[in-house]
Amino acid sequence: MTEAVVIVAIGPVQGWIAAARRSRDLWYGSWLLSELSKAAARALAEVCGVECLIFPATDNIEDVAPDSSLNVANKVVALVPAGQAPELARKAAQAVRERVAALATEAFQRLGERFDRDVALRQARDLPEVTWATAVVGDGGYGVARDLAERALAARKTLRDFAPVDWGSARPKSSLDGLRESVLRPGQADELLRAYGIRRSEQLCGVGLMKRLGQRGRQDGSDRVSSTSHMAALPVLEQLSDNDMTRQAARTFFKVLRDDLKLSPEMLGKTPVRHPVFENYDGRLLFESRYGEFFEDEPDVGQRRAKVQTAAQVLRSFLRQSGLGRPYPYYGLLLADGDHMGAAIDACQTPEAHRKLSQALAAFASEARQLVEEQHRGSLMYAGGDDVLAYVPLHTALDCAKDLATAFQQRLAGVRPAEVSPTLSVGLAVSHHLDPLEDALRRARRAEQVAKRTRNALVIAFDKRSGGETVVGGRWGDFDQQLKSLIDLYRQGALAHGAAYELRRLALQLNEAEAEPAFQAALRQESLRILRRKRDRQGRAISDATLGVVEAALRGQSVGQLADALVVAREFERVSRAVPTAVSTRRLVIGKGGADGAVDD
Amino acid sequence: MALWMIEPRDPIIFRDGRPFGAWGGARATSLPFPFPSTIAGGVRTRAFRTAQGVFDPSAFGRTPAEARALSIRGPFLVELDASDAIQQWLWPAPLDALVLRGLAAGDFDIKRLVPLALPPGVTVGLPVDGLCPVGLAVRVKAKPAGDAPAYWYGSVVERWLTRSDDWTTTAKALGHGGPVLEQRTHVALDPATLTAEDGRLFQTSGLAFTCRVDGEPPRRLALAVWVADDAPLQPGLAPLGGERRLVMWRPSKSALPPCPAAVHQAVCRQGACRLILATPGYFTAGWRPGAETLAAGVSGLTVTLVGAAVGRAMVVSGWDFETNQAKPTRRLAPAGSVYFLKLEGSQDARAAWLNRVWLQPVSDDDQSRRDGFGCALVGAWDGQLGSLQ
Repeated sequence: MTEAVVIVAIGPVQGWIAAARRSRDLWYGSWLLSELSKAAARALAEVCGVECLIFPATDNIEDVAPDSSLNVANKVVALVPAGQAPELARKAAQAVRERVAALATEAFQRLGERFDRDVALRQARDLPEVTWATAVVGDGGYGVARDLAERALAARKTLRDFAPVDWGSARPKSSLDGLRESVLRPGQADELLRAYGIRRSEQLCGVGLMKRLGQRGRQDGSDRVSSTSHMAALPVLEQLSDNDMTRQAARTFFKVLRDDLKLSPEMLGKTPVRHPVFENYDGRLLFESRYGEFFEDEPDVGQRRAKVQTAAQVLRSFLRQSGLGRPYPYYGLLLADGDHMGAAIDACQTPEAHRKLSQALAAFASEARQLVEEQHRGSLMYAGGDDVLAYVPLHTALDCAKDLATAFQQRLAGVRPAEVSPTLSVGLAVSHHLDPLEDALRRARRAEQVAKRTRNALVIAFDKRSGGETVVGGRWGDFDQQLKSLIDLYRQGALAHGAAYELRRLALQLNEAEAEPAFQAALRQESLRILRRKRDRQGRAISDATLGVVEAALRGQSVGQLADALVVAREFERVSRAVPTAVSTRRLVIGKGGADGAVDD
Repeated sequence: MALWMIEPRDPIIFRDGRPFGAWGGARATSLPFPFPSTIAGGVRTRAFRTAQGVFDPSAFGRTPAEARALSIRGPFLVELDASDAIQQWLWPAPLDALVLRGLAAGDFDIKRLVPLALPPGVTVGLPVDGLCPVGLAVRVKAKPAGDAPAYWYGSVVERWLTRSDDWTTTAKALGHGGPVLEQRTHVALDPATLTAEDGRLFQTSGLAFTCRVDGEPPRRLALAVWVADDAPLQPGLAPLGGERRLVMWRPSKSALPPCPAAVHQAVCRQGACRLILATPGYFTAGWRPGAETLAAGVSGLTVTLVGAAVGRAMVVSGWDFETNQAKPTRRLAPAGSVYFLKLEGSQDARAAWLNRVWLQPVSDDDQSRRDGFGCALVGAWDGQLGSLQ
């Protein structure tokens, strides 16, 4: 029987995911795309059998059932009977639209009549962009047909066709992206705020409401992902010892916030991972700077201030009694993408080879969840195909990125059909926990793109509120090792804190970037001379061993780059310094752990 | 009828539709380029403003509807020289160009996308029967350049419109990114104490109309707008966009660039062309112009859409000062979108069509045309389909 390759692509991707103000928006954006891809895959598998699926590749149709644990990239590839190919592609596209409508209906169910349901549903139905292409497998075999289908699809995608708006009105536009009219009715905001995490000032359109309400929690009511504040607070939370005193301090803290100050469950949060002392409360409670927002629906200004003050006092008391410092307010947003994937796919000349590649990617995605969430206490937004998107706390971020890169390379090494083995490039954006998510995502994407230019690389974009963005990076094995060495130097107190800024000034003032090579060499010597004059944190002269590390680091990069690496190393050291090694290696078990512990030393 | 220059003095905020207010985390986000309707509104406001600074069309013998009828073309991006004259025009990168990273560092390979005839056994889902996908006929391995300039120099675009070959160039020779988005963080003040309110940071992003290319001295960017009326526009400083940031209004001695002779000849001879949007276009059917719009009122000419390279929809809304409420959202085909057309009719009809379309607003309704939506460039196309190999 003659067969044809069918490729169905689902969008929008980047803009849709980036339109996020809350972590759950970001998570839902990624999750929805995967659900839609699964709907397309399932529509094909129901007619042609699950074995028709090549990307994703699975033996079990339940893997592509709604809400299954499998994450699927936004492109589905299958091999189907040639005569039915266009019809099946249309059917898959229709299944995507039906799935969106079903998810929207489900998400909106609990809202009653407090919003404009009709408009919200129309907006949601309009969301997906589904494009497809098919190519009959001829004499050239599967590889040629897949390539033809891919190129036809690329040509199809140059036309981003869209329908006119049929819900336009004088209503305010969505706070997430401003692209559609809000469906919230005036006067319902307070109630919605309390019940569903919609801020008083927010306006949400139908697709925004889906993001905020759809699949927002697990069966036990906990959130699927952590907040950015919780991620930033984790290094400190992991120092919180489990003993009678800390438990008592925590109980008092929660009681005041929950019972006396009537902080809503939405504000208190319910994290996916339970802490033995801090329970499921969100780490945002450790940030005084968020307290103004917690009580913003208190109409009386005086009362609001009094509540904020009381909460701040009880927080300070809790931190003091527990022996904790104030958390460092930064977290990591990690975005990873495979290198040489195009070559790897092109090298798949048979469906079997392509399926094997798909299975390796699925295995990596599954391992990525375990690495991010269990081993490094991050929060996985998405892992599908060769992409990973995750929040990571800063004390584990570098190890997490490295482990992901290693796992990817190992998983793909076994099935590589191409000469070049795929590797993983990682962009890590370090952002303030209150910075807009779309900025953090843009930062991570930029970092990932820089990393992908080098390939097999890590690039860190550290955006310090008080100092601007510093971007550093390089190949795995070189850059990450060097950064760790520099962090260790700071950890040992072997380098003065001001040295990095002095070197940066030197590079800038003498315009290192445009200098002749001989002058650049002189600058390197000058930077070593500056370091020799410095004292370490104990007031001793900088040791030869320390200078050796710095000198080695200067061999492969400019003084400016080294200065940037030192600035970033110093920030990572600030986080890691707060976490004793013995505590940082313990594991918190994911959600299901229950009340009695969830700690696995 | 004259060409005017609007040269921003401050970073200008042309806000997107997101609500903005004095709450913590709020952000006024600027679009990367102003919509024509924003500039049209600015022109009308300035034209019918009394000496006291009040917008009052009646003082100029016009009704509000007549004021709204004042039509513009543009805005178009230009670089100014030291004498305030136009140094060069910059046009949005056309979407029928695929910019690939070249073999040498810093090089770009520019490939043309053309309507394709698909080989037997290959199908794609398109929204209109008979439409051709627009893509590369041959396989290329290089990756699209993520940092390709968003705006191309006028001379480069003229080449793009007149010729049909691919070529290799550099970023510097091609164009640049246009206005630069500049972000500022502000803090809300407690009116009682005049001190910062905790947690009440908010941000604004504005467009700075100066840019640096390859470390050269900063270049002055401005908006060129053609005003089709004898409206009493006055030169001088005035606010434009959000936050009352200032711009300088200045009449220009230049004119809009004429259609290149080579394009004129090719279109008349070949009976086919590419229509490229230089400003976003509004079409009642969404992404594609209506039949009447495409015909441009020229009799004896049948215009057929063969293929289209259209970017993702842009959304425009805004504030209606007449009714004091938000305008409904509308979707626009973005600037740079390309429509491949067949023009069946006499050479005279084709020439008449070209005159009606070149840098004229091509949109489906009168007010959108008056607002400057859909100003079009026209490029040569031999009418031949590429074949996917």
